[in-house]
Amino acid sequence: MRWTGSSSRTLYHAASMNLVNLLIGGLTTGAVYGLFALGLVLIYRGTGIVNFGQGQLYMVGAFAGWAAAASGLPWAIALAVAVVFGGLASGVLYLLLRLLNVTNPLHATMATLGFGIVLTGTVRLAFGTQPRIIESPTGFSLLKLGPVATEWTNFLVIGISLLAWAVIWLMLERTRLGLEMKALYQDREASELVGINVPALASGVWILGGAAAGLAGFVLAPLTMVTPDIGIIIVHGFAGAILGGFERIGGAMIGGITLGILQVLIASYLSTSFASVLSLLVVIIVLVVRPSGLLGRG
Amino acid sequence: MAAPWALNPYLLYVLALGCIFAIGAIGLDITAGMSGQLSLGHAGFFGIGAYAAALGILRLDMPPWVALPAAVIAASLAAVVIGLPLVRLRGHYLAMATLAFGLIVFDLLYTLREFTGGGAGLAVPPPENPRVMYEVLVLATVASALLALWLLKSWAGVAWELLRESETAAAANGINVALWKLLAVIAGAAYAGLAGGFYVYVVSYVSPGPFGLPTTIFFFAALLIGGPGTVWGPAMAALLLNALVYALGNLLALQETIYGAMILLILWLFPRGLAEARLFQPKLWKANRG
Repeated sequence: MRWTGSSSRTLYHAASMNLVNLLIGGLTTGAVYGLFALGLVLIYRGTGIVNFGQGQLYMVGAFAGWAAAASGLPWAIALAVAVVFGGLASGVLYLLLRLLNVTNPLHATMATLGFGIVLTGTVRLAFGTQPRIIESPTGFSLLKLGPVATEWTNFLVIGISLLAWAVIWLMLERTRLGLEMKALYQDREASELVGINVPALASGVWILGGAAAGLAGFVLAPLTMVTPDIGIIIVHGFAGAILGGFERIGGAMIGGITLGILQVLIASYLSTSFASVLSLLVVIIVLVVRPSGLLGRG
Repeated sequence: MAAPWALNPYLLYVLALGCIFAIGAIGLDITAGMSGQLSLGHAGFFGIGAYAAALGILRLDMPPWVALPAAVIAASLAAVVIGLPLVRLRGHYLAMATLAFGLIVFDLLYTLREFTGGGAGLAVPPPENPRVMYEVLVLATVASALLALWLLKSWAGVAWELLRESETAAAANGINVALWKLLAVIAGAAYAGLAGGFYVYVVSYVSPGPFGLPTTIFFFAALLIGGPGTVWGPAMAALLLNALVYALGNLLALQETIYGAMILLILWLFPRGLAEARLFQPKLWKANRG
């Protein structure tokens, strides 16, 4: 229900542990924000649409992964299920947008928002509001480094998020598919002229963006809970993406991590209420003062 | 005016809520329909109005003729505070910022427990004379619609329509884009605030639940179904949608699915709203669109 709940356990750490643990906690949620923001940015670069239903793709990924894990499948398979379902739901949304033939921001926003809320309602009808738990494969085991003890889960979340980001980045930089995606981002019509199958590529971009969201939902789940309302993470995703410039692949991850760390620092040294307002302030300040993001040119 | 007490109390209650949502939908029609500003924080203004009225009644013993204007003023002030930094934004970016605003209002209603009562909410004594309150509500709904129609035809309507079609064109025609954008948001918020004030008198209880994203989407569903910029369209759609919700049992999960599905259906079948569809076009609306 409450969107600050997404990082409650990390925030608890923040309030009681030392600075190192604080930073690790911030890095953990921040890396997930970054992965989430990356999905938003990919879709925006590919098709010029801001997906207001991205939070629900995250939620669907988390629920699919939970269902797989709860039915006894190993963690790695559950992770793959989450990725596939996030990507599938996103692909369906893209097909729907094509069917609706949306042209202006009002219709695109309403269609993605509408699809998202249908997903929330459907999952709520099917699974109820009871919070679900996905256990971490590392359990509650701790990594002890001198006086600092941190759950292995944090490193697992950070590692997977950064790895996924690196794979997508390498794909964009080093493969033909990535080159085509860049071409699509720069000029849609010219891409068509040089023989790129634009509709197929665009749906691929949506599926990739949704898969990133599904993965983000699954990996953060051991540190939070899975409910139909966790899609609210989209506020932090937007803030992270905007901080990074909204069209930049590297910026999304850096923006997400910056946001995550700022949140835990503010939560522990100022107040948790203020930490929850931070994302709004980031959105407003960056958009008004520096619309190209902190790392953007000009 | 005989209608309010000819009905049974439950129908009366649903009708009253429908009027409240109609006022809110007219407000959104000014901000998003006439002026084209994608404000996803509409339920936030609705909530601010409701809590302002509830706190005014509980803490300051405000009578209705003070509490209702107080709700309007509180929501308008919130619109000024949030609108001033946002007037430079448009399209997606405005939508993202206002979405964050709405969610933060929703969140603060939970966290500022000393004022809002948190998740448990605040119980407010019912109005002394419910009959009069219902009469006033129906009158206020009609007056709201007429005022919006008047705005639509006035100078403001022209400025807002230009703003919606092209900010550059509006600026080239001597319209102060930032000012009119801010006025569009404030006017919409004032309507939402009034709706929030009446909500307190009709329901006698406020909690954060009704002021979240689903309610914003409800208002947008009414706007799209009724036809943006037609005033009566979104108002009627809000009345009907609200009745539908209660007919189906007022369950959050069902509401979400229905609002979302309706928006998608409308975008598919009637991208410009039912008011624009041939089968459903009274002359009055046509004339008012100019």
